[in-house]
Amino acid sequence: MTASVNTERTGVASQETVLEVRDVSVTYDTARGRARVLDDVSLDVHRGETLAVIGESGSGKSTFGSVLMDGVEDPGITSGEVLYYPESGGEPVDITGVSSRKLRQIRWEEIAIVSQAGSNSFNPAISIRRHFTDTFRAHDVSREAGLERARESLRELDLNPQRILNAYQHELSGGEKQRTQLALALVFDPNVLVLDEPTAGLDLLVQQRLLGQLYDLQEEYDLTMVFISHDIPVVAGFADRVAVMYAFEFVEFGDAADILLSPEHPYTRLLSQANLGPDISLDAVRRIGGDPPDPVNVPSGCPFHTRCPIADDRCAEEKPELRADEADTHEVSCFYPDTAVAEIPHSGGPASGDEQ
Amino acid sequence: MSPAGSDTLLSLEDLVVEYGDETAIMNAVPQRVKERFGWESDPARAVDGVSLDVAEEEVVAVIGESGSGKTTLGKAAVGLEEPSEGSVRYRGEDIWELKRKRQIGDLEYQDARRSLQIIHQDPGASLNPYKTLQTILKRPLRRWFPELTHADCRERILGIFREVGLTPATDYLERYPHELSGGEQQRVALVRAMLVEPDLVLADEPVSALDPSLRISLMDLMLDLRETFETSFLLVSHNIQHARYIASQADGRIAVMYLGNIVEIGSIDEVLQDPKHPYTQVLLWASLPRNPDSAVEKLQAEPPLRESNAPDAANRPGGCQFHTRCPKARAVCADEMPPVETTSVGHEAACYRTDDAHQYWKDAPLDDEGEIPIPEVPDQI
Repeated sequence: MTASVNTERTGVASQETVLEVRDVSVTYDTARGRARVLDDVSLDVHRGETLAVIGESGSGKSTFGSVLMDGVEDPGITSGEVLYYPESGGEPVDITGVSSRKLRQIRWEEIAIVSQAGSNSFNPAISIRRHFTDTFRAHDVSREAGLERARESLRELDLNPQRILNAYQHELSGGEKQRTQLALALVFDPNVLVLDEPTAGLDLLVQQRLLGQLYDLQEEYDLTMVFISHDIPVVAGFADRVAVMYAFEFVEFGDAADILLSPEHPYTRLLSQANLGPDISLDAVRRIGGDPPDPVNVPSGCPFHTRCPIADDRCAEEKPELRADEADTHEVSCFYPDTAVAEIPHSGGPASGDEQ
Repeated sequence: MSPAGSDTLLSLEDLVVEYGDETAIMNAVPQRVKERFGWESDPARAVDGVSLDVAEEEVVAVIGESGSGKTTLGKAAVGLEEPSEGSVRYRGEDIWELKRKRQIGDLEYQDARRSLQIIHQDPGASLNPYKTLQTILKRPLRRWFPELTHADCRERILGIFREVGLTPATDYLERYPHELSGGEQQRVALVRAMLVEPDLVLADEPVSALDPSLRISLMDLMLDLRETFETSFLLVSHNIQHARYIASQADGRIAVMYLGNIVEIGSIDEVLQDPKHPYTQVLLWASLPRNPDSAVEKLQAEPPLRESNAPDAANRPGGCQFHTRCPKARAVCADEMPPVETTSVGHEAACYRTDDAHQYWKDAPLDDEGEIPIPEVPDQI
């Protein structure tokens, strides 16, 4: 059943690793104790793929995105390794351990990020042109050559370079701001693009257009994308693989078709049910009961047991590990995936939108 | 544009809201100087002649893109924005006249103010982080019900906390907003609006910033509180799926706004199953499906629009405002604004296509006429 999804895109993604995340944790010391906002996660990102990271607000998704660029803000402490494998081959670079000079070069030139729509990603006091030229200076690119490239990338996103470069952020609409951010991210032709809720708060038509442009860009430049979103429909058309985050770690991971159409972790099934869509009957939509865990005080055992409809005593005491299926394409950290599939309804499987 | 057979709570009539497009320094320039040098700018019409009645306990979802005037319409409806023309009547009395006179008959302006409440985008974020919930919630109560003692206020707050599941309620009184989860913050923000027993709550994009589960829980709570308190809701959203979720369960209506006009209105079922206006059809088309196969098709598709960017309210096209983008536009659409036609009971749309005998059908399309693939609504009705 998995063969039908994103068939046109198979072959784009390779099995070659571009980013290798090993045992990465991020902690903050707070007055209430140590907050673990990323808990010992490991995962490989393949060259040319789109990896979608989904989960509720406060599950650790954005922290995972910042770790990929060593962008965790002080006083957060990152441990573990993030290895970046350059396209040219050669030795991998540990992003969490390199000098700031080397890191600056990797950021933007190799890995670029587009952050949440609605957040003010541009400095309101300087023109968009300055944002571009400052970036060029930091990367020893000449102003003229850089601006030429900037105009090209803006045009590619259907923006008028003249107008955009002269504008300040308040003069741009939400969609224009996001596309400009994307043009800035693409200006050095990076290999990896991290997208953190790039369409939050945008009108649906603007969202459809931006996502469509991203889709085309990826085809054209063989970009690797790590696409973070709480809205499943936003990533559903892109994802080659999906990683589901709960309580600051991955609880289910695998091919997009498996995770989106037949998830096995109770959390993924419930998360999916909370998403609205034109193809989804309202009767099939419900919220996930309870609240996401507090990073200072994550429940024992399986962290989801406090909200899980099928949890038993074992789940409260023992922590399930991520385990792969026989085909090694689907990992899930749950003691009872079969029970989850049998007892927790999941809608939106087949393309017809049929309910079960 | 009013629902049949129910009491009207709020009535907007030919409402126009204009914003002067002037910088602060231009305000200081004398009028004759502006005239002499041609410095006068046309005001932007955010709302361009809207009539809408909201009945008691009714839910009306107003949807449209950024710049469609939906937020301005909402603010004008609850008396936060003074209309340039037309009127907003609360229980039959013009709100702004009521404000000037303070009282008309038995109706006091203070009652109208209390009765029309607002919930902002990301409601949880609108709570003062330095105050306990007790302090945050007592303030509006004491303001609107000065006769209540502190003990009465406390009782009321505890009562509504139990109602919305913030238990043990006494524990929550002394908490600060940051000690609450995201879902709890939202509940408190809703409680704050409902405590003063409003007749109508304007909810302006209340769920757009939230994750899907919080979104559904807030909408469920709004629906529950609406029943308990018999309140009307005016929901403003850019997302037709959010509007569908709330309005369907409350048997509500949906109003689609484009550049300051309501271009289609009707019961949620009617509008979703049989959208008459091409703009409504395009908005339905733009919702992303959850199924990966359908989603990938949607990403690859060209939007069914002649022009993807909406014109802004300061540069309104003539004729039907949507004709510059409408894939179905024909010559007549550029000339004259189509009248609002009733297509079935309670379902109205402003498009020539609703009239089979109209000149429109003899005109040539402005472009190659495009189809708008409309997703089928999966609900059984």
